[in-house]
Amino acid sequence: MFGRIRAVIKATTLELVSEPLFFLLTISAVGVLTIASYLHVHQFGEPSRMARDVGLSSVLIFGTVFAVFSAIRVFRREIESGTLQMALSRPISRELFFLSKTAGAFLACIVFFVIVFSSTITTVVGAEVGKIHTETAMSAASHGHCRHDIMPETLWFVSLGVDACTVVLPLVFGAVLNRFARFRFTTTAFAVALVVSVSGCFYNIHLALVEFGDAVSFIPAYVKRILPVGVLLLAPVAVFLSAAAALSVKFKDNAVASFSGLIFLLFLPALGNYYQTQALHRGGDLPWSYVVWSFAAALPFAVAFLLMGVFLMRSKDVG
Amino acid sequence: MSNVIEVESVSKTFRDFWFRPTVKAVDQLSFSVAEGEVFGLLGPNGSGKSTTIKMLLGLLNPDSGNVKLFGKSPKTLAARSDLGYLPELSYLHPFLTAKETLRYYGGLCGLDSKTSRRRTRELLEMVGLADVANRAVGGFSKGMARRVAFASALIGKPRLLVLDEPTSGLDPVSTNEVKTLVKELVKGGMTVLMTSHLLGDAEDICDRVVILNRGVKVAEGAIGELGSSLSDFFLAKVGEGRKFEMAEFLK
Repeated sequence: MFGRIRAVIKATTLELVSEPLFFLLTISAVGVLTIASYLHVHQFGEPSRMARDVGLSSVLIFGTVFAVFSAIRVFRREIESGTLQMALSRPISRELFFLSKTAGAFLACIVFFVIVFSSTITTVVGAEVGKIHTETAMSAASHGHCRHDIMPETLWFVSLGVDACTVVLPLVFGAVLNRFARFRFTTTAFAVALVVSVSGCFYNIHLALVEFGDAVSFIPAYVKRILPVGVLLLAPVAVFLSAAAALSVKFKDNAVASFSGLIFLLFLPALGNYYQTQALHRGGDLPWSYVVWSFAAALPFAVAFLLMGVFLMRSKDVG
Repeated sequence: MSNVIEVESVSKTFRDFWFRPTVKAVDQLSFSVAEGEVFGLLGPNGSGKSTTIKMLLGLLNPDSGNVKLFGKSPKTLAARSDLGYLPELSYLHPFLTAKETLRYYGGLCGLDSKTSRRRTRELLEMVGLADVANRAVGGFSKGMARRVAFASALIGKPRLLVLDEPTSGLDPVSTNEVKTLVKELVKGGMTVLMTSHLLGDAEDICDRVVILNRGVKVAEGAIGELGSSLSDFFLAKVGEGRKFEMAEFLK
């Protein structure tokens, strides 16, 4: 059984990370985050808040879109291309197939989440360091050191560089490895984006601590506070993925997208419980127990949608 | 010899979203396939061949009647464990390479990693695609894709091979290769059920056939029993109704 599950999850995740649209969605999220954080006029003196809120919003909004379209893609494509016939003629139950495909799509969402969330952390750290730069320069100016050229540095150049590399390096490596080694372009690009975003995040924090010492010693604790807020966003993403997966068994793409939009609107009031950036504002903390209970609260909805999907798959005439 | 396939009074009507009947695809069909034989399901386009196949595979639910594979319902995993299926069109994931495709279907058949790797290597050699094992199947020609699909049908070492129009759209050389392969597999003890509207291919390979027309069985028997020419017999059974329709249309 585990061999079958692994085969389906692997093929599904590979299908999604080979899809240019999903890669575009991921680097768009990173791009939006970087650009938004560099727009001075919108930050009202709180650049890291801007970076944090835009990053977490990107995870939620882009992540939801990624989840819904992943589910549509994996199920509708199987059904319409006929590969579902090939798969279900094998000794694998329809229930297991449906659940494994959904798990594969969720794994792709996790890849997306890690890339965008790492970039969020990188940009937040960059904004905090940038603020210190600006304050230092302005302090120097106020003590008679004439600095006519002070610009508010809202983003540290290292963070900007890491974010830019998260967008550019995957494209370069993907192209080079595709050209010379026949690697899949988008899969390579996703893998490079994952490595660059995660390693760049750690490097960024490490360099900030090395260069600025005590001035930025609060950063590791700050990042630890953002972590539960980010992980919490996976709960609504999982619910929307389950809903879209179930609907995709029965309905076509446009109908699934419309129904998913409707479900999003219905759950919008509850989404506030999962978007807890306010908890971080003014030094607040989101306890991990809240995250656990929130997942538990979302679980019945995800399970209900998954059961619906299992039922629809079981009764479906294939072919 | 025991029967590998038993189809008893099976009917299937397709319905629209509101459950209104649209097409009666199969009507009270019965036949059986013994172990080790090559059985042909023949008929013109739209006669219910593919629908029958899909009911045998558990992909479609019959409205009435019984279908058994190896004495079990096709819905059970045990029945499908010994089954290999080659659909009419080569439904493959275009982003997977030939090797990955076979490994994927090997995984679905429950093969462990080592066995899956070995079988993949053997089958790619057998179908002549070892040189392009790492190329995405999306870039394959029709014949190459068909060979990958054939190999994937054999990955689990099935006892029963179900071929839906196996030679449709293939050139004469590829058609001959398929026929030779089927004969070799049957010599090795495999049971084959194939559908076709190409009577020459059926005559070359099949031991027994059932002829369908509009979902109804119109003839059944061994190849030699149905007259000296299968195509004449087929036209006699199936063509009459069509001539009548054409006459009505032309009035």
